[in-house]
Amino acid sequence: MKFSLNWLKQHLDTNKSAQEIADQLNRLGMEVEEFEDGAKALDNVVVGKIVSRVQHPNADTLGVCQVQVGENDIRQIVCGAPNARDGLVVAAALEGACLPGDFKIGKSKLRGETSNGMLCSIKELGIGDEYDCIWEVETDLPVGTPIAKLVSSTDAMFDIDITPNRSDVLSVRGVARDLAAADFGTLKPIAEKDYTAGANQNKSVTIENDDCSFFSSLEIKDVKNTESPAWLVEYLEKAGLRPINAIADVTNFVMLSLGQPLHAYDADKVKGNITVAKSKGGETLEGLDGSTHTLKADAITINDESGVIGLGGIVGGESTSVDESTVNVFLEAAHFNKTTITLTGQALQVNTDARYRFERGIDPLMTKIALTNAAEIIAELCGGEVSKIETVGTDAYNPKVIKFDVRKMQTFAGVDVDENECITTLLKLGFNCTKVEDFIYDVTAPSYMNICNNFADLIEEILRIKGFDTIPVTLPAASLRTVTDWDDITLINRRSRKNLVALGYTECLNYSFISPKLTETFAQPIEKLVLANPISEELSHMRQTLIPGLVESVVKNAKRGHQNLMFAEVGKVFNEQGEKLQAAALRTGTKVEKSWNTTAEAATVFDMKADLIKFLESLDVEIDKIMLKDSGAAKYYHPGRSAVVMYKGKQIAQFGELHPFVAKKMFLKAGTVAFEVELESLLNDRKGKNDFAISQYQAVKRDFAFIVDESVKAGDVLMSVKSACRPLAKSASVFDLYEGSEIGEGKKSLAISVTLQSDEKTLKDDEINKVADKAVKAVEKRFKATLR
Amino acid sequence: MQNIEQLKSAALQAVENSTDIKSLDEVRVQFLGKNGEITSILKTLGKLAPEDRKTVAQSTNEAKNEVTDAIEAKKQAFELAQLEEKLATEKLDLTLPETPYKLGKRHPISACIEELETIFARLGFSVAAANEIENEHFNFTALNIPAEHPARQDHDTFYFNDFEEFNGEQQRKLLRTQTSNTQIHAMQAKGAPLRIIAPGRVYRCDSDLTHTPQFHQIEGLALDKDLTFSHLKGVLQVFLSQFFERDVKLRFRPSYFPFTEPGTEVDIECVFCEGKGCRVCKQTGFIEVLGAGMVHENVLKAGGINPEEYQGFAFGLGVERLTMLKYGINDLRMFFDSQNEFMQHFGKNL
Ligand SMILES: [Zn+2]
Repeated sequence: MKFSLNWLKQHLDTNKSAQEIADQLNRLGMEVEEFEDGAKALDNVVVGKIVSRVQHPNADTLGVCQVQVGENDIRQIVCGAPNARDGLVVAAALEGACLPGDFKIGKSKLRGETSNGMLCSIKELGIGDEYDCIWEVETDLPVGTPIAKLVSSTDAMFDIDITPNRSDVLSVRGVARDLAAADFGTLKPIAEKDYTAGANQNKSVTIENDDCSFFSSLEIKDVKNTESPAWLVEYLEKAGLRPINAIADVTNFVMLSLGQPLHAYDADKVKGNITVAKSKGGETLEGLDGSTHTLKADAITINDESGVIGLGGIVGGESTSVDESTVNVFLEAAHFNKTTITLTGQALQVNTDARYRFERGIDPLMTKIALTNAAEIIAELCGGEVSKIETVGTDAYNPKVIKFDVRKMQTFAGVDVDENECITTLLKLGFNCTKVEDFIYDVTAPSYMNICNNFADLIEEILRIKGFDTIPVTLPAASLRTVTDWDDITLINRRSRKNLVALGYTECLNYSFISPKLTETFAQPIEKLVLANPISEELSHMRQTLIPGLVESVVKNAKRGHQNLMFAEVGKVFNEQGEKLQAAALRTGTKVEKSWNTTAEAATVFDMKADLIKFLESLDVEIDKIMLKDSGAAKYYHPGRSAVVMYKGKQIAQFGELHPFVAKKMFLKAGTVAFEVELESLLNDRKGKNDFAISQYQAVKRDFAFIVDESVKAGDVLMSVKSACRPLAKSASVFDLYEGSEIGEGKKSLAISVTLQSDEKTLKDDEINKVADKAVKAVEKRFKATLR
Repeated sequence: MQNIEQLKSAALQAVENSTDIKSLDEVRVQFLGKNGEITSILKTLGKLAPEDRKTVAQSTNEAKNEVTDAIEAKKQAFELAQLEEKLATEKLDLTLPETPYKLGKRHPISACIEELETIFARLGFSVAAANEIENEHFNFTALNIPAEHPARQDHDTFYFNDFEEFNGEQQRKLLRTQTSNTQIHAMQAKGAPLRIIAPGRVYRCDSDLTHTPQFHQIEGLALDKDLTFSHLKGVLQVFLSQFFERDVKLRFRPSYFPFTEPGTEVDIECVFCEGKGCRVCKQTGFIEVLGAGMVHENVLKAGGINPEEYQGFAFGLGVERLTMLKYGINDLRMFFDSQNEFMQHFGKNL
């Protein structure tokens, strides 16, 4: 909300400076977003005297003046004003001044002549409207005196942010009242004109909707609606409102001043009497906001005999609006239910100052005051005769009684405030306090504070006035709960991020939503995971895997010349069942950057498999218990170069080379490899305690080369060898793989090395041979293998 | 006897005089070889008189050992010299670049979250998590923001065309606009007393220079029988000072969040100008960093906690903002753009 210091001073008698007021507004909970101090604009502007003026050598309209701005301080200032002349006393803005509109004054050269400042007009100083000549200062004060001494009142502009709980300060008067409660001045009384004795109104009002509890009105006859006078235009413009005509402007001015929204109808355009009713749905209204609204049911409508002419508390209708030809005015000030206003406003998407105030709550006791106030100003500006005030319904205010134990200031806020100070503060804010027993009061809020419901609200009010900075700073006693209480999901989240980085990956945080196109490339779009109101289509589908984001990241960087990348992300992915935490990694390009001692050897799916296995091991997965399935990986993987990882009967991960088709579509380098791990499937899998012993006995190696069909899986052969040699097999590996004519079409040779060791004794040759024989037989039998 | 001593001296001298392994070996053959001069004496021991045999054998063996050791020592010296000579030819230019293995980098936001978790862990807070797709009840209603509340509109919420039944009502699903939903879940799951922080992603339908549609918050919640606003100030003072690694001056302004009462916004003295006023703090000397307050009784009730018995405070902070302030990052949008240069520069080492 924007307002000027002068406007504030109409309601508040104060000698505080604009800066002090701005600081206090912040302390009171009205955050000052913008503040322009008129007095500050006069800093470095002093009384000066033109000692001499000569014609500028290079410009007909300019003069070069020698201006005395101190006893022994004469400065040259170039000035184009027609009234600049020898001996004139002027307002000289010197280097360092900053005039209204952020106009900084410094040293400059004008057409080759040095100018050490500026001689100012009244308008340039922001203290009046005269602008075509410089200010001819009349003063006895010596040169060099700050010009501020001569200006009785400078204005200032405030723009404050008002939180939804502070409907009491949605008016200049409300702000003044809050400052007064904080001892920042005295609230001035409002002169209230008595309209109880005028002529009867021509139109009657009937309320047929409970959402309107009070409706007051005045008629003003024979007005001459005009443009608003300058003072009114200035107030409205400073508040950010566009002037329309005097009558409409007055209703806005009074709303901003006092907080009560008003509406003026052209009485001659209203057919017959007025009824406040409830919409049935389907009615239309040509609104003053320029759009046609089709109403839903239950809106508060203002009707004449022709139908809806306004939406109560939200927007008036075009058909009955006041304009320059208006002669008779019907002026409304009413109470409307805030919830209904909110729902109607949301449904129709109309945001007006009236709605804003009604849905936050208005001061019921200000309604009639605002109405008479507005009528008085209209009559003053436009002439006319004001009718008798008429009201329907009640504006009675029945506040809730809050039981307040003043000791709560200590036990809830931690502030030691004495009882007297608490109560005095509440009284200053307008509360009523009645002591009912020791420390306990019955407290009722004033009519303008409509959301005070409990003791915490009262504590807040007292603290606001006292200042939050007066609350002491203390630490709570140590808690018996410790980090061991962390969620498992948090722990694995944290470990995953670290472990991926330890493996050499750089962590990305990509958007949780991706484009429909990207979604289709990687998954089947899921209707319920599509945002109803996305920022853009590009960010509209919740991701089902982290891979597309990583792919896009890599592609984006590749365009800027980064070819060899290792990116990873840990984050939520979404599916039909809900959301789960995933870790994913993607590698593209070479194993290491090409350098003088490296070859540009591409990172392969086996490098990725290694990273995956290391990553799983780092999360305590028992690697010897995982199984690979070479089918079932997502469709965006190469069907022949991808696998899913099974662990204790669950699928925990998948990895592989990305599908060449996907790579091509995404402009991704062929052969890019990736893995994904479902972290939640690893929860509750803390490694148990294992017996640990280092065998004292000699380990022996046995090597076998098997010739098997091409289709036989190396992993299966390894597993077979290991299990045949159990429990002596410590490890088994493939040390050579050979395919070639030597061993026949459709065949391959797998060279396997197994390490045998006993924990109990030194193995004898015949024991070793027996075990090796068992392994060979097992492989021969299961895979139709032959020993090479 | 004389003979042996002379022989030994001659041998040692010959060892000493040898110039390379080859000439040293000739010396070995000359004295200790099969027909070497010392070996020959040992061969003739049998012919000596038994009374002489023992002394001659002893001195000859001593001479043999001494010469053997000398040859061995000389040999090692030759080998070492030879090795040194060879190594001299193997000199590498170590200013050549190292093999280009790279360190991974932690994203500054996720590193910052971990840093904050660690600070709060010291204050006795554990870490909790909640879903990012939430329904209206947990994101709004339970947090004292009923449907008609003006604050609901200020949230720029992303909605789904998907509903779930909750409390007998159809609740629309949405992307959580704040980590505050964790407050309710944590209260329901763990009860009071309670001290948690909940870091995570949140979403708002807003995108410009200073807003991204997704960002990160950390929610804090502390409940006990006697926690006061004063304790809130203490916890925030400690955490912000530890995070910024200096004694940060705080400013508490009354503000409003439907789930707190009283509510406050917290500013820190500008870290760039130390309160003197600069462009970053818009000349005010302060920068807003978080919102906080005493937990509203309606929120406690929604979490199944009796407000007559327990009270406490909550706070919510924007991780991006804190990260930007601490590390001098000036473009919010860079966090989610995965630009390699940015991540290598601002990414954190383990
Ligand atoms: Zn600053």
